[in-house]
Amino acid sequence: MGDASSTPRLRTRISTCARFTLTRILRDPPPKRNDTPLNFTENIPNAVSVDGTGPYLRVSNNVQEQSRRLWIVQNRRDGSRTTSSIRTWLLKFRIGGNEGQTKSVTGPHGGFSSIPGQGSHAQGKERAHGSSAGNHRKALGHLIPSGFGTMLYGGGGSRHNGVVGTGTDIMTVFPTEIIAQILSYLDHKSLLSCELVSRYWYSAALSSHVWRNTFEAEYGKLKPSRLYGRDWKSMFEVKRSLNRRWLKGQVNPTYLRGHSDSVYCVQFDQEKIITGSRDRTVRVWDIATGQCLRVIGASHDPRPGSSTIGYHKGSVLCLQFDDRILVTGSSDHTCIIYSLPDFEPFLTLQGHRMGVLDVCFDESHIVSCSKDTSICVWERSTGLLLNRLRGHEGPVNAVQLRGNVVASASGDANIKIWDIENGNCMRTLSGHTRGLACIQLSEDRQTVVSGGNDQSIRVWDVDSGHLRYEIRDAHKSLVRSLYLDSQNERIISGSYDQSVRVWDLKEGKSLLNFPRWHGSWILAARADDRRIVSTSQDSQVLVLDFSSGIRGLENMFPVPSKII
Amino acid sequence: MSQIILLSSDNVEMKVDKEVAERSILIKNMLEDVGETPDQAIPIPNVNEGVLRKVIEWCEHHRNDPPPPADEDSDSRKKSTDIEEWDQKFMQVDQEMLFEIILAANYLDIKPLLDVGCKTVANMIKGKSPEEIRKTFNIQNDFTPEEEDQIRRENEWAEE
Repeated sequence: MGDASSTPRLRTRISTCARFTLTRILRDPPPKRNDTPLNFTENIPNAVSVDGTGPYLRVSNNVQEQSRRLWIVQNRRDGSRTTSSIRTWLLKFRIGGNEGQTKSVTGPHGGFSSIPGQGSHAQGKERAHGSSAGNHRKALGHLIPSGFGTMLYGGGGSRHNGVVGTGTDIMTVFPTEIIAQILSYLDHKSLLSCELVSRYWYSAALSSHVWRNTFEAEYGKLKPSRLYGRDWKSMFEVKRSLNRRWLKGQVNPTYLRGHSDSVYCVQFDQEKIITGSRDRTVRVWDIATGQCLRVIGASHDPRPGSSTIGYHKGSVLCLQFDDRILVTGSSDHTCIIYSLPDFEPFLTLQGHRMGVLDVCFDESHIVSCSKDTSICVWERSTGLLLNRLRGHEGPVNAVQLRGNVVASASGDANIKIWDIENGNCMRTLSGHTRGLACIQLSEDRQTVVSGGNDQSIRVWDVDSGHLRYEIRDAHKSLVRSLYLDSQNERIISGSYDQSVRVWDLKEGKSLLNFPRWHGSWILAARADDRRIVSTSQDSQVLVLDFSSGIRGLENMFPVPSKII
Repeated sequence: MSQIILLSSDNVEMKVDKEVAERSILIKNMLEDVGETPDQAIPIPNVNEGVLRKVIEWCEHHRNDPPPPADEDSDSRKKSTDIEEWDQKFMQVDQEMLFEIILAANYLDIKPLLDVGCKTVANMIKGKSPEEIRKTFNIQNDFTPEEEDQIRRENEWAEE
């Protein structure tokens, strides 16, 4: 062992096997998910080598041959760094004289205890792990010595006593990162099978790293901007439960009452719902409690006359918000921009000669459309009118902006696709037989969904301009509102026939129908993973919650720290 | 075509096309750093002759493959356990050899081979019951019946 200690770069660590250690389940209930005994992402960098530069040694018990092998395992998570140290190590080899290393380590059992930096008991192991082991440490404390000794001193063979077979437990053969890679190819049922194989397997199969892959394989990648929890197994469970509720239409309804007239528009996130109404106000609601947190409008100004901008003098017909601003459009021909989270109006956009029917924005532009048949493109930061898109021959009822593409739908029954940079109309999609009320453009700008007075919903391919399919008689009256949820491949529609319906995006198959949950026309409906929120002429806002009572919801949808 | 010599752990020398050996990022980096010394063998201390020959066979077959995508999270890698036909046949070896190939691929840093190996093992697990997995890998069930019940209850959500 003298060789090893004379080459400090070669800091050694005995196999990661011991880290698949016995868990708490012996004495305590199964660990809570966010307490997973083995966390690959956290532990690997420390486990691979003590000083983060050297390769580490692992011992593999081979039952068949009853022999032990030693491996230099490379840190794949930081290839360059580790490669270089192995290179150094290989160079030493080439220079000669160090071959003895391998031989000495594969020698008699007692040799192991003298490997530098490698305690042969729990304490040494914990030191090596560093602080990132977190509260897992306690569990390791009393259980490692036996497990560790078993692995190291030949008990590995005895573990298999009484089992007839020729295979070898992969947990004793491979380092953590290889185990993780193998398991990450598995579907959730196989992973749950793995949990029941043995204690090592239980720990390994609980890994959040593995479950993340399984989640993404099943449900697709989640938008990185959202603050998801890290317990991917629990998130998988939540997502699966949610999808089943969506299949069955199992919802918990809540009506939000407060507006005194038709509620024209809505948007919501994980903490709040914002609605705009014919009563000229905007209301902010707590999505969890249904409580109205705020009313924004002339008659509700906390300091009357203090705002130089003022409030809408007509119905609030449309709105959009993000983390920083709220933009509303009104039948008073203007848009107002409010700063968030204080909802202070600070800018008015004046340029339309008739009511503003729809509005949307991104980081640099605000786009509004009007009954005056034009579309205005404004600079977000200054409110400057940059361009006016003309071409429709009827009121422009709906507009959506994605990247540099604007899609618009008009009472003239046409859809137009515009380039926001030069204001050119790139394409006109015709086919609807009557005026259009609503439009959605997918985030990848490949798909347009449209609906209107001919009671159909049509799905278009933007690049070719071809109709992908049509849902005929989707509703029994005007299709007033559409929402496209690409991630979940759903279309939500709301109609004057008083129903909210859910359609499968791929083929237009009807998935759910909520008829007459409102007492009058549906004016807007939107959805996310867990809810549909719709608004109606009946002055009410309806929240259909698919998620109530699902275990572990907070892992998928972390509770925000503050609302407004 | 320039060739280099690899030396297995059991001291067997093997002549290999440089291009083939450089499927191993470890060897490639090393050659870049130290330059070529054609007459001197490069020791591969963790891989014995049988395994090394097998690995070289794989590298020969895949010598002209395009480099794998750099993105660690690229979709293709994770989502499918599909394995191309030649690789499937190549991996039809006993478990011992399969595991050795995986460890060698990991050590030599041949990511596509590591991926194929891991997929092969994943396919040995996929769709199996815990008991079948134990049989496959010769594992003893070290849970108490109570613990098993507890885990099953915890995972009941998947059964609905």
